[in-house]
Amino acid sequence: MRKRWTRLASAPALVVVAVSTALPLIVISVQEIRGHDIFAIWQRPGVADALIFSLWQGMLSTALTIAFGLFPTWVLARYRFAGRSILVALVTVPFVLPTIAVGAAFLAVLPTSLHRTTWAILLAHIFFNISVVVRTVGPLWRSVDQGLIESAQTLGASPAQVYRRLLLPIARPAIISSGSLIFVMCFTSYGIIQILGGPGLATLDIEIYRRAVQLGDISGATVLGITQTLCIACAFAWWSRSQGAQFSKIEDRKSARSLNRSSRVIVFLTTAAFTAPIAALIFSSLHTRDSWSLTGWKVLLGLQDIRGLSIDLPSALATSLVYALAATAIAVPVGMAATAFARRHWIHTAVLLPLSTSPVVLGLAILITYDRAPFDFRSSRLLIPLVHAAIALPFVMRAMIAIANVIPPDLGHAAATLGASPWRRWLNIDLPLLRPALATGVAFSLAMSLGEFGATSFLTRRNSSTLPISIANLFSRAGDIPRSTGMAAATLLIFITGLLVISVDRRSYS
Amino acid sequence: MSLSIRHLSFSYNKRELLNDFSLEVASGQTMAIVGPSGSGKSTLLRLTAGLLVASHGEILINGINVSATPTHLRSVGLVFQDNQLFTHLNVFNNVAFGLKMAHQSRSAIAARCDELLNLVGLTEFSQQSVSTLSGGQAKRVALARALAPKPQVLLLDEPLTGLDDELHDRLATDLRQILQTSKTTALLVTHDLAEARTIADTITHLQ
Amino acid sequence: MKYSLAHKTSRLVIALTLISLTACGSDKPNTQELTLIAYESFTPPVGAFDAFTAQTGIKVTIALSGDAGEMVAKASLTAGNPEGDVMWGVDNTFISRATDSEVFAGEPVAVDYGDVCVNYDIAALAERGIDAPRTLDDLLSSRYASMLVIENAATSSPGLAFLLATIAAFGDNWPNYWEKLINNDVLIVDTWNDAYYTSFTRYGGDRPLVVSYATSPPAEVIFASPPMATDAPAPTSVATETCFRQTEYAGILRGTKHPAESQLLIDYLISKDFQTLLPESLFVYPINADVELPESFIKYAPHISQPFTLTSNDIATHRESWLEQWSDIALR
Repeated sequence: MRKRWTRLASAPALVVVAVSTALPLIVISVQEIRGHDIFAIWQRPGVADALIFSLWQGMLSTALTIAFGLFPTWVLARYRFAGRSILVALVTVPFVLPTIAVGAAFLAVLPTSLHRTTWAILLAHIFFNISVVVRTVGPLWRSVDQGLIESAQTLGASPAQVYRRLLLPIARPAIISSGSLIFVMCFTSYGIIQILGGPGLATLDIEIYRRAVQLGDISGATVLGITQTLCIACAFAWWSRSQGAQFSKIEDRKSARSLNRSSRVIVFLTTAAFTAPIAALIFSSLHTRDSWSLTGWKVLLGLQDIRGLSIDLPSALATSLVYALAATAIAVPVGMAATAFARRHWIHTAVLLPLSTSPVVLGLAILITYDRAPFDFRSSRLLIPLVHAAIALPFVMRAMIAIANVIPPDLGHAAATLGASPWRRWLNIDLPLLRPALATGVAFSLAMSLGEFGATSFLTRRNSSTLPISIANLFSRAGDIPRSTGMAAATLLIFITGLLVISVDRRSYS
Repeated sequence: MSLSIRHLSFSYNKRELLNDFSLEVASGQTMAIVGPSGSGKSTLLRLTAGLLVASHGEILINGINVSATPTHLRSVGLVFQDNQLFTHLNVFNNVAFGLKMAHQSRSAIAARCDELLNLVGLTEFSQQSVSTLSGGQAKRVALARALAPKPQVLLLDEPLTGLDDELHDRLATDLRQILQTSKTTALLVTHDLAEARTIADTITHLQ
Repeated sequence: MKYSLAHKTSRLVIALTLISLTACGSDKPNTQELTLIAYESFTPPVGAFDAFTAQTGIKVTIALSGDAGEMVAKASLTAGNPEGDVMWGVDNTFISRATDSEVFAGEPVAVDYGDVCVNYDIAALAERGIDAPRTLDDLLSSRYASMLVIENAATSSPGLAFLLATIAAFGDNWPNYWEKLINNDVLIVDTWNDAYYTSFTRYGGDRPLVVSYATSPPAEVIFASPPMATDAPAPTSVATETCFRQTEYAGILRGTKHPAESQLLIDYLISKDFQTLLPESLFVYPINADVELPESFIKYAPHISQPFTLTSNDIATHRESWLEQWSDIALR
């Protein structure tokens, strides 16, 4: 009886993936690829290069993000200090930033010699994705008993050996799972490559856009898109087979240690690295043409009307928030159920499908799949939140991997033992232990939705823009005012996300 | 491998846990420190291991002042009250851990681990996962692990507390035998005087 | 614990609200509403369609559909079963693709035009003691070495327009021009934003020449902060013989359920009432000759008398091979 029930629990996740991605992809493949020479596209100049570039910069970005990210992860997980939750929010916030704004900020902060180089891309990728490491590996490290480290020390392990032989192996499942997500994000990177990389550098996503939109070759783009999705899915499935490790029960341990010298350095460096680009943004919103000016903010908040520049901030903000809340309302329960009960790893592979798919191909696929009654969902207002939820699902599930060890009692068993108490125990004792994991799931889901640009801008929206899209619009116009207003809007997005993330975190770490 | 603690003082949060404490343990001898909880016994062990730093006093091992030496260089083994076994490693690899830290060869590690597993009577459990061990078995693994790198001094924190009576007595005798056979200089803390009498050569009281 | 349950419940409520909104919002056969599909940056002033609604009783909903290229790609794929009734903003580089895919019912009409030209920073050039360039050939001169930033023709619409200008100007000899231009140390970046806001001297970069729109100079004046004095000269201008004409079209989408009403909307889109709103909101020139240009355009937008043009068929046929050839010269 339990088996049937648990199999059902992963169903919502599979439905989300099927409706938002799998089914549309099948439809567009059939329509566009059937009878088509699928190898021809790979011989077009630049296409194979794009795949190779996506692969190696994806892998290198992931490796660097993990290597650098583990330091702040350790400090944030094990030490207690004033401003800790702000720092956690600070490293999470880049997730949400539209690449246009961050691109500008990075270019302002980086030395000119790094402009338009692959290094800039790698740095930006680290900046964007470090929070995945912090929030996935963090909880695992947080629950490591200090005694374990002390035993290792008494057995002769130097700090480096403690790290390599104890902490890394313990973190390994989380490193692998966060690494896979980061890889997908970097592989499908688009805006960062364009803004920070040299001209002509392209990932497969960029090439897909070019072929579909610039050159009108939808069949070719579809071939590339399906290949990308399948490759990532296969790579992840193969990679995660080694992940079978048991997660030890994650305990909500209070970190009792205050900062020592080396951890203080890490906190300082992390804070500096993450504040600098954001400070550059804020500065640009307040400073135009060698003088301080609040015009950008005034226009943003509707306090000043500039002829020819209409940005409806309240509407954009409201739309963004509604989408984010709706997406989270879908992604979190669905993800929780799937993680709690799905013992197989293929469910984790399946939920990666939406994230791995080019927004262009996905958008086109959705368009032709749901265009006829009774499935005419193209203009449904639930479509975008659903797509956002689908994209956020892998993050939510990874954050809640801890839940797999706190499985609720057997239904049958509960019925037999007259009931409420095993469930009550689960609800009152075990579930609260998951609050940090839940918080991370919610925080990620909100952040992903608030910052989502590619799929959202591709799908048709009636009378409503989200905040990232409004920011992109502002940046596409010439003039001081649109630019500083765009910077102000990006700053606003940062603060709102930061506040949301902090409040979610605060409520979970009691 | 004598252990000499001289005039050790330690305070935490304005509370004085140890004041001018001294003791001597001769090489190969086992000393037990008996006292009620809160008397600073565990603190003493942690100071000796280097996990805490004393405000006054010094610790000498074999005549050498190790007060400023970091834990991992001190060659002091510690068996924790809750064992602290590495759950991501099996029994063999737990025992082998200290040897790997010392970069010993595969064969040397294998030989030493076999020797120790034999000593603690757990040879058949070599490949087993540590999460499936019973309380007594886990304690033995922790002991074997601490002894493997041949520490100059072995520290034991309430080694038998929490184990049921039958196990308790059996392990107490076994522990004495293991310590004598391996000729290890040992310092154990406990609140149980009877336990101390069974295992140790000398007993000191702590208020 | 109680909190998180409440939290989750409230989110579920929001989701349910949205679902119910969906149930109410979509397919009602409603002849009083038309959907106008446009690109993302279509931002007419609030109330732009009030006059239309007043005249006809039809409400206009704007559906934003990605950038211009994405909009056309989606339209081609959904030809015959469109997402809306009328489409605005298919430009001349995409129009033949649209008509080939039979996106429109009937002929699309031109609604506005603009030019992509080399803009220059007047003050920056004066500082360097150089005259402003005027023609494409001027750009090859060593005077302007390392001064020009252009966008990647493969990824940027103004970048493509500039390439097309050179093709229109030099015919089959265009690769030759480009080799010389590359030799003159031109900087190529992927996006207009990067070119204009990072590399252009007006915004702190080091290149006083940039490929942008002919309407960028008046935008610089209108959107200057601090605001410019009324008689101050524009800070930037354009090299008038480097321009490529972009024309935008609108049309009734084939398969619309409201063809007659859509025609009314098309008529409105080219009417003087609506076209007057175009210059200072979309920064394009109205196709309707009766419209008086605003003062900012008259004063600050240089008149482009002879922009370069190519037929849409030409562009559609050769686009891919041109881009490949260009990439070989410019990017590799």
